[in-house]
Amino acid sequence: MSEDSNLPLKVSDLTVAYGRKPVVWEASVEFPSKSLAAIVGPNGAGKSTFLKAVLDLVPRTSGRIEYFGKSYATARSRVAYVPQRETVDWDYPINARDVVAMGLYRKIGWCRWISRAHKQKSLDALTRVGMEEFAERQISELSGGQQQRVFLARALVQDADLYLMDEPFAGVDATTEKAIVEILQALKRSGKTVVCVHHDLLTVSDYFDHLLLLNMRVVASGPIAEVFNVENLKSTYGGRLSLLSKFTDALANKDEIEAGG
Amino acid sequence: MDTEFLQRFADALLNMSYNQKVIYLGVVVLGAASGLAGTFLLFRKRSLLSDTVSHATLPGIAIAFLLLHAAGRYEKQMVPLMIGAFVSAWLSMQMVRWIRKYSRIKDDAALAVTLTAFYGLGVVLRSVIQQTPSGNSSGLESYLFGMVASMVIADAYVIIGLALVCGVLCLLCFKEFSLLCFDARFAQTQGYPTAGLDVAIMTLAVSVAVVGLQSVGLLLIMALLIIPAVTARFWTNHLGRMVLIASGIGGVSSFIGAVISSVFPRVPAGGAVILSAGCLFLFSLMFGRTCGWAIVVLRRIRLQQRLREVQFLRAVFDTLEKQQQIRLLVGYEFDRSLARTPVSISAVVAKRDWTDKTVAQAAGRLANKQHLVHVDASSIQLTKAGLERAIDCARNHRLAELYLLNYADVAPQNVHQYVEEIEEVTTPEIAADLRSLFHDELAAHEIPLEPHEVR
Repeated sequence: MSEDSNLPLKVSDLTVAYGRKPVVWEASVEFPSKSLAAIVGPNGAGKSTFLKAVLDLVPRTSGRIEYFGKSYATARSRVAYVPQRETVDWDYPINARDVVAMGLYRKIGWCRWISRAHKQKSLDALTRVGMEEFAERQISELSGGQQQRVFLARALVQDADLYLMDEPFAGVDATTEKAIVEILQALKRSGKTVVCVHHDLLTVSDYFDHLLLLNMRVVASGPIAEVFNVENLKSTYGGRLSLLSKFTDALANKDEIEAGG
Repeated sequence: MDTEFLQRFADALLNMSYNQKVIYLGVVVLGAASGLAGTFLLFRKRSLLSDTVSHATLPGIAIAFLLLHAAGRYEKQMVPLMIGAFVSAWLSMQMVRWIRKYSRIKDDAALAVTLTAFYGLGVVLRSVIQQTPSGNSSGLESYLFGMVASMVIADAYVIIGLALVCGVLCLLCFKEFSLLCFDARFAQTQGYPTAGLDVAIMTLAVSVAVVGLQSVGLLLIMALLIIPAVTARFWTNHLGRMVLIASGIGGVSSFIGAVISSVFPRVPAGGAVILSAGCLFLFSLMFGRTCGWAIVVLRRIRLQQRLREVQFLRAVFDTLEKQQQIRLLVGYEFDRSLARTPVSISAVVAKRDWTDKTVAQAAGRLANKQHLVHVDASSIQLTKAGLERAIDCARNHRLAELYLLNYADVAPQNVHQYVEEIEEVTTPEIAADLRSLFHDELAAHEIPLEPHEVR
């Protein structure tokens, strides 16, 4: 039990189905503490569904989810979620700082207004993602990468121990991607755990240290050094050879560079 | 004629009895409450729901009327009818939610099915009522189009009370409603009862729709919920202010509508209220601060004018530079002291495909800014400030060209065209970035040479 309470996220036997079509099948996986984990798999492999099911956002057919050895309802305050950017209407009349403040609403409580201290906290979170000068900016005037950083700040302000992120690098520019990676690594250094749905095989081993390969079923999971190999990728991506060959090319290039250096 | 007309308005406004004042207050408060509820409904993307629930009040009213009739109460009573209206409107709202949740039918179809089912039932029941002895004098017509004149003071008290309840609820749950409207999924992960909040917002809209039956009528209450909210969106980017503005617009248009309908008794109040709200909407659509048409057009015109000025100054600069280059071929460096010579307008025209009128307008604006003076009809001369601005424009343009050539692999023959296209978005910050990027080049030449062949 004491061992379990150190485990940020433990998923046992998770099955999710839309109608009669299963999307995630009997997935059992553990994410160790202080890891920077990626969930990787082809399109339609159920990566986002996995994350949503774990967060009670879609109904589960079966399965047990434990956060730090407790149920989600109990451990909610220790878990922060960063949804995909496209899921909200960015024309909403609100500025960046007020979006970040939404991460504090639970702490503020019902029927209370946002105080100056809460505003300052939101501003600090924006500073951590390098967005302080955009605090008063209407959110529709932000670029895609800036919007993603606002979402990240909303998660940071919750001061959670586990961060679940759905494609944080989707549609952001190279500078933002670098900035986000730095924030994730800083989180890991301060003892937090991060789990990201990720789709870019070329950057997985650079950004992350733990990996879940998912294609409806769990193909493999574990430290990146053990799991990230051509065999596992082949069984994850199956017939999608174009992607795989692109990846093996990149691996070969990397080997050459390392051999050369 | 005119004075008589004004006299009637003045009478309507000034010689009100206490009862009339309370009724007017009720109408205004109702408008404000609908602006409030409508704003949240708008951002829940449920605008059309207000139409469904307002139509769905009809069977409830009819059933309540028939029950009263069966109980031997023949006079028109507002509160029981409103309860009937509320119950059937609320059921229709739940029906839409159920259909959406438990079937594959999409939102618009679910709304259409529910609206027609309830309204159809209402129409049938109404014909039953009309066959009863007191049916024709039932006053149910006033619920279709609204009749402020038929309101009594007790109606107004009910409206004011309910509107206050709505207002307080919105104030208390403002932050939660706002979160639900922006990102319902995130609200759910935070442990908020999203379904309950959703029902609360919709119940708010149902209450306003039911209360508004008396003054606006069920056919038009949807407009009173939605028009103030969308109108307010043209004036602010802040949800709190938007709610206030929407309430204000709802209140003002309700007041105007009520006055019109009391001056012209044959004009139904509902129509008058919605027409005045519609006028405010049209005005905002044209002149709204955040995205009104006039503002957008004005901004575009200003941008184009500025662009023309920049292009004009660059053409003058190029001409001056050419003159200097011909004089001193080697070791060329642009010399300000030689630059204050007249330039013929035809030389500028030759560089751009502009009409004479466009050139004259651009020159006129620059002259107003004292960037140039007209020497005679066909030539101009830059002032000191004008020369500095021209040098600045030319430098920015050439740095942008250099950037595209060196960093974006744009072919030299295309680079001029590309920079023309991005010129309008080149902000002072971008210009400063370019200057620091090409620091070395600028140390060698204050104004870099044209990096490509000039046509």
